[in-house]
Amino acid sequence: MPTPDATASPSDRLPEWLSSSPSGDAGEVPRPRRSGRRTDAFLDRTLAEFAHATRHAVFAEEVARRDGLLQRLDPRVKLGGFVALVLAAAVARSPVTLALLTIATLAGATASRLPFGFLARRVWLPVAVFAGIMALPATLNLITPGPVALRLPLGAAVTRPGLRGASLLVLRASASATLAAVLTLTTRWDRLLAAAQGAGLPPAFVAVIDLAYRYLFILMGAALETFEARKARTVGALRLAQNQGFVAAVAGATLQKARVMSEEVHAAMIARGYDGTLRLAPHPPLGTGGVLGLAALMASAYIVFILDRILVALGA
Amino acid sequence: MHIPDGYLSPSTSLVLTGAMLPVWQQAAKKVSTRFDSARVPLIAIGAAFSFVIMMLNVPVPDGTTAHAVGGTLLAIVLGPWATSLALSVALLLQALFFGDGGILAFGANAFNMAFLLPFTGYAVYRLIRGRAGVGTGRYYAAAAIGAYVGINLAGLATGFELGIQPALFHTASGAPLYSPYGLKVALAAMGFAHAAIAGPVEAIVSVLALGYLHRTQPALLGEGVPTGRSQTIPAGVSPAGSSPGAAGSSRADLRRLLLPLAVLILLTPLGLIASGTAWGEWGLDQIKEQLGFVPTGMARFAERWPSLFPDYSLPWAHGRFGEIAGYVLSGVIGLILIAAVAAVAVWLSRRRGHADSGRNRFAL
Amino acid sequence: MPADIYVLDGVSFEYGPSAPALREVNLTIAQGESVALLGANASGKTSLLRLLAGLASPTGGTITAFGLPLTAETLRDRGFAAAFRRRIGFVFQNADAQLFSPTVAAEVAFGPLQLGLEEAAVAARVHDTLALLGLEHLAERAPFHLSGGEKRKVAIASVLSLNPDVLLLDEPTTGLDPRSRAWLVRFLRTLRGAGKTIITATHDLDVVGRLADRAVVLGEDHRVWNDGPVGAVLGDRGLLIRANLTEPEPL
Repeated sequence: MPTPDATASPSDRLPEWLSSSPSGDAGEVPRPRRSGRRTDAFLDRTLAEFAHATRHAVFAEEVARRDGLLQRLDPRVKLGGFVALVLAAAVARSPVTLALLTIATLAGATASRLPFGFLARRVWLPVAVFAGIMALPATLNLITPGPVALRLPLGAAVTRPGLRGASLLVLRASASATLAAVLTLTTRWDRLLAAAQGAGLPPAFVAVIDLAYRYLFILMGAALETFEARKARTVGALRLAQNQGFVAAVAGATLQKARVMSEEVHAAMIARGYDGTLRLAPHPPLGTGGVLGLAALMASAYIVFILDRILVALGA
Repeated sequence: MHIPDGYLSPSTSLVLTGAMLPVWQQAAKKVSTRFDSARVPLIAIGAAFSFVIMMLNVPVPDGTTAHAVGGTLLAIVLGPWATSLALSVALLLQALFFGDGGILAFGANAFNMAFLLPFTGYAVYRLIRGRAGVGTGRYYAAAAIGAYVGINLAGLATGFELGIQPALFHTASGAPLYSPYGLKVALAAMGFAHAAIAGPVEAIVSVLALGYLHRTQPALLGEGVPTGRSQTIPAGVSPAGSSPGAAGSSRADLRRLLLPLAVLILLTPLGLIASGTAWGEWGLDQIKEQLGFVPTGMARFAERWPSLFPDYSLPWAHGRFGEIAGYVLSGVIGLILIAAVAAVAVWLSRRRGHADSGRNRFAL
Repeated sequence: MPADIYVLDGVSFEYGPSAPALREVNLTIAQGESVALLGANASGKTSLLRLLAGLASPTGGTITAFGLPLTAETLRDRGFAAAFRRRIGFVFQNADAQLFSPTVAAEVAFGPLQLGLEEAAVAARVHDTLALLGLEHLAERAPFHLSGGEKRKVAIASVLSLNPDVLLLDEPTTGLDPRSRAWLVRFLRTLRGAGKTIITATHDLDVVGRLADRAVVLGEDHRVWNDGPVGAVLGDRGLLIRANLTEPEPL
């Protein structure tokens, strides 16, 4: 009985349309033109997003392995310190405070083998620009009334409170993003999770996040290949609805794979003794270095807070 | 719809994170499986899946692309409680490991996308689907409308959270400390963006994905009429053991979950404190002031559509009091309408669940 | 003189600053050839195939396909991209990922539909391709549920229905039982006989001799170590050992 794979004898004679070569029915390959119609953006953009996520993750793992100031700190210290600093940034009322905080953060990053220019360009700048564009209309008297800073035609004007609000948004968003980036880039993600668990996050949640991160890349890889396969077979234009159908099909196929994977992972965990509660490796005790580091970070956050109050009182 | 850090005040973030705590707690309790140990991989991989879905670019008519969240889709396949956990974890991963969406703002994003979106979407879906079978026209219509309503509600909530910032948090001189756009602008912008773009995308992706699943693996969607037992349950997840307290406790849960919403609704009137007129919403007299004249086209059409609440004021109450009352009333009515749709959908779908067997643990 | 389909000049590719995949590859492939890209895992064969398929851009050097430059920029022109993709069929290593339509028949019809062929022509192509690969009985099945070998066949079918000039195959024999493997080699030879260009990336030495007439060996340092008649390459045991394609001593 032949196996399903063998298929006794598929026709060895090729159909006529297949045996005509080269490209009998296709003509010449046209010269690529710059001004020609562009290919479908949704394929390229999705592929670019996948690539970006993978690159980010690989890069983060590599940075976390470098020997720098922040990498040597206990992740619990960093987590606590980070939360304090982000809160300080969140309540600041003076743009000067936020600017100083950003510079200090970038300096700390440089001491951790994260080049100043790199973070400034890749993290700080895009967030600041996005916030800036968002906040631009809000500088006008139509949104934020107040004393005029710059008169514009048609009765519009840039107001002083408007400018201040915009600068606060830009600086605050970018400072927070930079702090977050420094934390996540200098800390191995599994130790970051363990730190969160130490801080009170229930073990079940930690287990879920842990697994999710690992399997993210597998699912992403599968979806990525499907998009590539689709790109490789894009030989004409499909209607919008068909393209949307393709994206939805990838979503559905990914869900199916996810389901299968969840059963396989469960089986693998059971086979290795998992019974419902994840036991993570315990953390070594904090040590003097750790305590000092934590104190230093907390103190910095407090200083930022006080400094902000002073600056506001001074009118900055 | 992801809110980055810096756009919301810490207190707003705190309130919304607080609102999510009971949701997470309840979800963790509700997602029980035949094997307790299957829970973790199930939600983890659900989270990985949501993350991937949020990265997909869906082509839209004008040639650009938009993103879907897939919250209602997941709620239909996994149930809303599992979805709220999976989406929350996906959002956390995005914020923590990939810098997408703020870390302090995580609670707010979770509230909008991992709570409002899937629960409303699922409730509307159940309401409209009624007893229709899987794969019928009504089934898909229910999914589409549920997805549309769910994401619009989430979008409006986001607009609301952003919109109350300048009124509540500003310096003495009036400079906004966080998001600078008031309620009118924020709600209008968010409302439009979601009604016109994100909503249809979400609906289309949900329907098409369900269609694909129905063709390739119908078992994943369950069969036939939704009753307490045959509700969509992925393999490895057991049907509900009947818990007698389920019906009563779910009502209490609902009350607890509606409370934060009620608080937020009550804070609406603070929009009054924002003075001035929102950009673009000028009346004819303001246009005349700024331009020196009124374009004839505008003048002709201005009176053609009398609105219910001109200038957000009540026609029969004049002066400052009338202004305030009118503003409050129009804002509150708008929000009540939204909440009412959701609440009625939830209430009606729960009634049906009761009629079936009361043992569906995925019902609200 | 058969035309050159591909000309690679000093092509390098890396995933990141510390992750090279290919170093300075010089290669010319003419129409009608059957070339085997031999190399151990991570030698760069898959990356090379992806470059040839226009799915990635070299980080150094240039690729010319059909006499025209193949870059991310040129592929943005819809006309050029469509004509290029129509001629190049890529069969991925992971057949699963390649299949995205709800049924086998729909998957095979996908390409011809895009070409704008009429319904009758599309149906004919689908029918012919399924018959050619012995898949008629699976036409209405979902690809998701098929066995590994069947999926591989559907993947090949979905690419063949476009009548490409060039077939790029990534480890096509992995996971196939001996009968299926033999069938595949026979099939590829038939296609070759009809004038198709076949480029196969593999480390399966058993099939290479029957499948290809030319072998390009990629070393673990991501460079081309040898490029010549397949018989000569397979006979050079020292080379094969150094390139990690065979064991140093019999086990």
